[in-house]
Amino acid sequence: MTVGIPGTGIGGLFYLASALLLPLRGLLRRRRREPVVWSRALGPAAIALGVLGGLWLSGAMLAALLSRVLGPAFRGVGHASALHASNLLRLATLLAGIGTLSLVLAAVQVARLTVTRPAPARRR
Amino acid sequence: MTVVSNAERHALVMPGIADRSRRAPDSQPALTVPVTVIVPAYNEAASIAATLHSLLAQTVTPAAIMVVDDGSTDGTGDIARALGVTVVRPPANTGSKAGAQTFALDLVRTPFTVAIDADTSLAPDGLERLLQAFDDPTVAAACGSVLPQRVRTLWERGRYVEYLFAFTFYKRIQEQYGAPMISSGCFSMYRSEALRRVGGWSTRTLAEDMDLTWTFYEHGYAVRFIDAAICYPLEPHDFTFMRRQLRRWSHGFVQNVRVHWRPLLDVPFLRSAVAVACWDAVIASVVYLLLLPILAIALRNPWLLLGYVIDVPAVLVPVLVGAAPRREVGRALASLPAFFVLRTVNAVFFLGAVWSEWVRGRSWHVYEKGH
Repeated sequence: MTVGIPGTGIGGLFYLASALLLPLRGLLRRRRREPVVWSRALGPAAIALGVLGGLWLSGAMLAALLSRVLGPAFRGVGHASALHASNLLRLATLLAGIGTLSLVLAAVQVARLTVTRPAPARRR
Repeated sequence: MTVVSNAERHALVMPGIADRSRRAPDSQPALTVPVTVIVPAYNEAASIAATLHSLLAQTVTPAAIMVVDDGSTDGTGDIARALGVTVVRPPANTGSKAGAQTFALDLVRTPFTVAIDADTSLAPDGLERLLQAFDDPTVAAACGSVLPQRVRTLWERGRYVEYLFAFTFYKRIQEQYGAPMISSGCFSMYRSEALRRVGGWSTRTLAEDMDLTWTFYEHGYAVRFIDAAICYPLEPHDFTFMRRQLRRWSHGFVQNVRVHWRPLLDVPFLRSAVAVACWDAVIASVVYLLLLPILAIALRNPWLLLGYVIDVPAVLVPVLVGAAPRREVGRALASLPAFFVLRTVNAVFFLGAVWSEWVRGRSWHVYEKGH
């Protein structure tokens, strides 16, 4: 089961960031002399880089397509500033997503520090 | 425990239990491992033979295979008996998969227990690969990758892409951070002692596998995802079955968050993954289903509708990475549009579950079979 809208939302950003951090985490584990399977750490990071590259490429291609082929037909429909951009993916959108994700993760940390919890059922 | 060396092979064989291998006489008998497989079944005559055949053809032989015939009326138990496995029947229908599995747990005498759905087949090395996860004594559960057995209809195709995406990308990341969100109910292996310690499969939510996984974390156990252990369930082929499954899963998730949210705060990574999932189930779903079309109309800007497809690469890249080694790139590409349909329907059901469970306070506890 994948909750919500797989691939998009802040969930998509969360997993992208988590994947990109895996090599760094591997380095830290290695410094602590803990076992690291590099293929397992680098694989998701490579996929994440592929996703980011793919998103950038599709944004650029869509912008080129819309501005050159379909642009004139839609100039009268609102003021689609995206038509004049080199990439449909806007930095502001990305920053808004990262900001929202940061807020949610910060809220989890606040809850972790403030919410009273039943005594742990652990440990074996 | 590893299942490769001969010395350990001898150590693993359960005394007094006959080797139940169905291999050809000239091949080496498969090692019998201390695993009991529980197969809960209610009217599964159409699929249970394939499930049992896949279990009997494993590279290691489970010490026992136990079909829980939960009041079937279609001869499910007779089919299982004819294949030589143990069939047990509760006094009355238990009402859920969790009930049937917990009934059988009392009869398990092996250190490890496998739960597998009666409409799920395994890759031949599925059991052997999962068993390797239990080398670590803190591991209470292990699950593998899931791929639909059939990829024909819109819904099966959507699920195929969803699984390729999730098991190639999300689940592997969760495993690296030591916190798979769920040990899939369709095929998982458990340490029997840990399973008993937490009371087996609970019926308090509609997603008993998520409930069990999160309970394990709360008790300090580890859960593993072994991507090479593959199972093939039958997925809903039409909207009637898909609707039942999505309703069960979405309500099950919301119910589990309500039950577990406090203790989950002590589980690193998982607490963040669940919080993000909750946000997406509510806010992203509202944006996706309502805000985008409303803004496109209100602002008379159709380009906003590109929001529905702008993330295609985010889905496509992991899906192709998962499909390529299986030589299924064409199938994955052809199935991609179906995923976007399923994703939209998924968002509707999650919003409905949140509205019903959290806002209206009406909890859904009717277990509807939907594969």
